[in-house]
Amino acid sequence: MTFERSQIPTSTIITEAFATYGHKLTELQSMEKLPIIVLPHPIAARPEDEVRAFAQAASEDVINALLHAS
Amino acid sequence: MSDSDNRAKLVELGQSPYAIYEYFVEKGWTDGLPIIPPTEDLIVDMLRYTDRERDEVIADIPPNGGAATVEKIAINAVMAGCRPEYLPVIIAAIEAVVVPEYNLYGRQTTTHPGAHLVIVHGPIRNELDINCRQNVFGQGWRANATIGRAVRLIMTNIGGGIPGITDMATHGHPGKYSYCIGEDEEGSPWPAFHADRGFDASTSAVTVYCAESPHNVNDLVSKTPQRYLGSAASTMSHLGANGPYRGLMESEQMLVITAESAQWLHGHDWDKDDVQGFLYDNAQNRVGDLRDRGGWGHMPMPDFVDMENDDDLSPIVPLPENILIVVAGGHGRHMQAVLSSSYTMSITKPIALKDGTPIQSVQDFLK
Repeated sequence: MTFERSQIPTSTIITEAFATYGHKLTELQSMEKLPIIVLPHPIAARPEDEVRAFAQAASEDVINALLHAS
Repeated sequence: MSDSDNRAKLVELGQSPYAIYEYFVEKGWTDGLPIIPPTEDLIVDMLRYTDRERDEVIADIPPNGGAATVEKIAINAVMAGCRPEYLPVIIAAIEAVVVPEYNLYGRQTTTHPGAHLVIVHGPIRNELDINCRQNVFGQGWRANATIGRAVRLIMTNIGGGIPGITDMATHGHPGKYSYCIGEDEEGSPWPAFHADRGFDASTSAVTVYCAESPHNVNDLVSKTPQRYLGSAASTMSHLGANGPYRGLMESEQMLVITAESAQWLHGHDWDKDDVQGFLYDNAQNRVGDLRDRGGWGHMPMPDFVDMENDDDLSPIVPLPENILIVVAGGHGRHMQAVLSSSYTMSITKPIALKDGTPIQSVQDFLK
């Protein structure tokens, strides 16, 4: 949110266990329009190929978040 | 700063303590335990112990940026069960947690189990009967229990640190109910903690340090400072801790030792900086033991650590003075490793009048 406010293109990526938290924080900061990309949870101990697949699936949303101001 | 829009609202409730408690639970205004209803007369009584205006904003508390006015701090202090004269300690603690180096936003929302340890220094410890000795982290002292609880209620009720919604601590720890100790300055052979930070020893002050639960170090046998503190170094640098993977970061880790142990070390001609230096040198891990576990790869290691050499050693903090030594606790050889996430620095603030003059006594506010 700080980066986005500073007009630094930002893509916010969290896992679904933190989705409520992420949306609550954007609400508290009056940045409800900030796009949040939500990946499956958990992610830390998954095999690398699965994590890469998540990243691939989310890539279009990441690019959109970077190219369009919230 | 002042903002009259921040005034608390009066709510008319019945006389039943249980019904009032239920109301506060329903509103999400408690830590789960019963509270003292913050009635106007109790709030006014507490406000006698500050020379600030009722609607003065002491700090904005993240994550929701809630304005911690003097009034709202007093309300939460009443709810926690504080005596009125504890208020200056709580105000100083709130001034301290919002110093940027403390990183309160991160500490309020992280998965890490950090609680705001409030350490009280100087004459006010005795005036308010803050426990510095036996069972210092435990139950049984009203001042310790309620001052720490008040800080937590402020973090929740004003800051909006709601468990599972904005406070994302994976486990948390019991210190998140209350976490407050005094330093045993009378028992210590060394300068007081706040004196090391440039305050006069006669000044009352508060340090906040965002920390995990205390981890006991039990060494009944060691006959030399090196052996004894070696046990502490081992606990402070365990492979599941944050410090071993974040030795480059501006960060701190703490050891709490009793006056007995401090006196014993002092008898071996060890001063506090000797203890810090020894712990810095010995609370280190082999790169090979750290590799590919814990927090490996999240942060760069110190420049002097050869990441390709499994036998090279990495410290838990950047400098020996980043090992904090606090003297507190009762009889016995136990020590407590009180570890941090490394993403925070402790902050010390004097307990002072509004103009910054340190108080001699809480009675100064009644003059």
